[in-house]
Amino acid sequence: MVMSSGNTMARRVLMGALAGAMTLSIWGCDKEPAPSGKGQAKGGQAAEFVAGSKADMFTFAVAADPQTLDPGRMSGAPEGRVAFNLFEGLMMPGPTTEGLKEASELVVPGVAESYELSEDGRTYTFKLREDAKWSNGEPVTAEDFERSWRRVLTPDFPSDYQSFMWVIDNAEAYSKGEITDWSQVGVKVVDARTLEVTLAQPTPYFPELVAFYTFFPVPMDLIEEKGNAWTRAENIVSNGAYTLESYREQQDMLLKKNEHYWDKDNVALDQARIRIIQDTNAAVNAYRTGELHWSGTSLPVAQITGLLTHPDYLQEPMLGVYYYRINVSDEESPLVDNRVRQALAMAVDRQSLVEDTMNNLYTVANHFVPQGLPGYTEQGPGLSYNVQRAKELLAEAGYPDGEGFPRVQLLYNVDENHKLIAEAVQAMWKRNLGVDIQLVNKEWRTYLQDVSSMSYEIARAGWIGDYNDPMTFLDMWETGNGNNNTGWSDAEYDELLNKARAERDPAQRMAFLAQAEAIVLERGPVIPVYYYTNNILVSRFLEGFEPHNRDIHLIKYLSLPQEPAAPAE
Amino acid sequence: MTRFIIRRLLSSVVVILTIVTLSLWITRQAPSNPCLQEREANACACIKEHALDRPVFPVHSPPPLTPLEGCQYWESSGALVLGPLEVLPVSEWNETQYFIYVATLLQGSLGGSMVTDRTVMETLGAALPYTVQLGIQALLIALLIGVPAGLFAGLRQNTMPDYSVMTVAMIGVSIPNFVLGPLLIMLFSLKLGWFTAVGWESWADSVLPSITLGLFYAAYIARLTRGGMLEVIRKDYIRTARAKGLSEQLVVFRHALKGALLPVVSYLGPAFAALLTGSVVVEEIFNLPGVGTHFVRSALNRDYNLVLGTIILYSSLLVVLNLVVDILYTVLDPRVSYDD
Repeated sequence: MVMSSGNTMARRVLMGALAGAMTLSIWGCDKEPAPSGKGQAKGGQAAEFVAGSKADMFTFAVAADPQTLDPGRMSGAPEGRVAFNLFEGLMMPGPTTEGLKEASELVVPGVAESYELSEDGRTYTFKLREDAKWSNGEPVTAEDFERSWRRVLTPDFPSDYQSFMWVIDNAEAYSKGEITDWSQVGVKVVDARTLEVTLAQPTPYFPELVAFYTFFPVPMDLIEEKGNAWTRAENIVSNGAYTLESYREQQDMLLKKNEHYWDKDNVALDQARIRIIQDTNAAVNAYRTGELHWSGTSLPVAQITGLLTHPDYLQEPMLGVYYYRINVSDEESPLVDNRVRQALAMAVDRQSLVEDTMNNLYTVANHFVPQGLPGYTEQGPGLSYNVQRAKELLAEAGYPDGEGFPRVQLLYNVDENHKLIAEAVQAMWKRNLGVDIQLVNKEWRTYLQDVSSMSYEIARAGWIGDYNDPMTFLDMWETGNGNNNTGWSDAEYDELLNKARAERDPAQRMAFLAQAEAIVLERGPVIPVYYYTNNILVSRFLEGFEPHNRDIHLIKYLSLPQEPAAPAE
Repeated sequence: MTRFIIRRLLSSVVVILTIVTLSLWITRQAPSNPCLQEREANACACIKEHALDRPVFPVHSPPPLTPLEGCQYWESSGALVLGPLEVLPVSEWNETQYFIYVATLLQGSLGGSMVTDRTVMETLGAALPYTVQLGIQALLIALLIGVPAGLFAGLRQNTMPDYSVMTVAMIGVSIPNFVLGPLLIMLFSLKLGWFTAVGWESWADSVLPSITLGLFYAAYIARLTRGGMLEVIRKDYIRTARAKGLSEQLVVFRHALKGALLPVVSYLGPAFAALLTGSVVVEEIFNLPGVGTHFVRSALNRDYNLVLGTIILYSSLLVVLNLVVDILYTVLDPRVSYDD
């Protein structure tokens, strides 16, 4: 999943001028943060706010209208948030990722009550539960999954995450039209309650993949009848813990408990309201006036710093990295020389960037793969801040003290955070290496165009992992991967990834991946800067809300046992 | 009059079609396209779904095609190419993006959004009532404050009350609504808790945005009314009215006001249009579900169909509003007549 959607960027561009004024207003109210969780008035300040005190049901915000409610087509964060509550896959994400040591603990049974894995690690046999039903009362069968997956893999079907299914045997060839016989694809309906999936290679994170919305079942008969209109509130049929009651564009979505859901007795909240609040300043205001129980999206650095000591403030670790990517495809560019890339990477003081520029809200990234992935240990200390060595490397490359180094451009999309970091890095490279960098900022879509057509030299980027495995961070640097966008190619690296793919011993597999990551850091096209965290506001009265490194929080796990008292004046 | 209206409506169709043609060309000139995403996505399928792999117009300058892994799409180089033009065979004209779009329009549809799975009609239809209500309320506020204030000042030219009112009006014109809006939120929502800070659930939620949007126009209308009053009050027919011994009240309200309000009336059409199209920032600050937000966001998303839909909506509104103003003119000023 990518960090920033176009909508977010659009909002940022639009609201650039606003940010200052709004921040002022927020800051003005928050000179004295609340010392405790008990609502109390503070001298000269507004009374302490209570999250959700003005909401008539559990309410949270998403940052944009979902582009679609069709799980097979979607790809953004707001869409995902809705899909995980409306639909249910064979497996589903668990309530938390905190402290998990085994990848298998990340997901819990969904429509499948259990699965078996074959000896060679390639064939999964899912046993579907008998009481899994659609919201119209019809049973959810293995055939529903088979038809839904086939739809996503249909050539020319506009599914953004279609390639996620390519781990299934022959799925890629089918989706590219190279084979037309569906029976050659590794998805077999054994009977109504048994689905057998054969993979091209052992893929330990497959259970987490089937817990991803692209793999969710969709009501195919309804789709054939209604076309794109099947996702309208008046038409939609889903199989998750909730159903869609209503949707008002740019306003809200109303979810209601699915009475046919197999686990409905354990679903505490009968209904939920998803507010669509595009501007993060407005989201903070809505939270402050008691309209929300959960801010929903990570708030920007400037907004959250005033609320750091508030009892509702929560910092979740995120499976994501903020980094600079380097275009190595231009033979004339000094960036082709690995020593130059290494020198640039070593001359960035990440500690200072995170502490001084980002107010300690994020964590220093010395590696590319974020820490804490079950079973994965990175090699060595990773990148370090070493000005002396950086200078030596640059001199070796023929640019002592930056002499003769051509002016290189650093591209970022319009955003306050990106600007702050780019300016800091620019100053560090000037001070430490004598290298001049020109900052270029572009509107989101133009930035995308430049990156995808490789018309840049250095560009900011962010990557949020799609599943809890280093592969989601490493396969993008493989030769020919569509997300590579740097022209970098390394045979040894590709070989290590292929070895990891074929490897059945989990420890050995992780070792190959760690070696691959070391190569990316040593000679790759990346300069990691920081690991993301998710900085949010969540009502302290909400129960069941636990940290999740992919920011997935299912409403079915939540409850609001006590309505918070009105704030004391 | 009827003939005038019919003539104007017919010419409007031509105007709007010209606007559509130019806008369609301009949207395609912007770099990037609606299918591009940060993560590698199935852009090819998206491009084919929206016919972006077809030429834009039957007449184009080569080479317009950019290959994209297995499919090609029509991507502008960003620069105007004035080289030799290629003309597609007539049989292929109906497969150009322009003809496909115009055919959609002729069927009474604005097409589907290229980014969401909703149609442009659905999206704009849901948003328009909010924008119109906001615009009308803001205009009412502007008139209710602006006209009396302008009259008050105009009748007391170069006195202290005149200066005071005009100073306030000057401040009103100068404060941008992205400053006023947050200030109102801070005071009335966060501090006093009288209004909700975001969204539009009930009528009360439209109060702060209407004030934010209307105050600028109130200030401007006050200045216009004052100016109109100063001009009219010295006219011969006012002097005559006074000489006849009419009361000052009758002179002002029956004779002077009509003339003084002419500049205000001619300003109302563009002002209402500007209120409808210019509520973008206010909609964003208060998180209102209006058209303005769609307009900006669709342009940034390169959602061509939604951009064009919004442009058609706005230009139609402008055409109609200008027509209404022209008709109002005949009511207020008997010298104006459109009859042949």
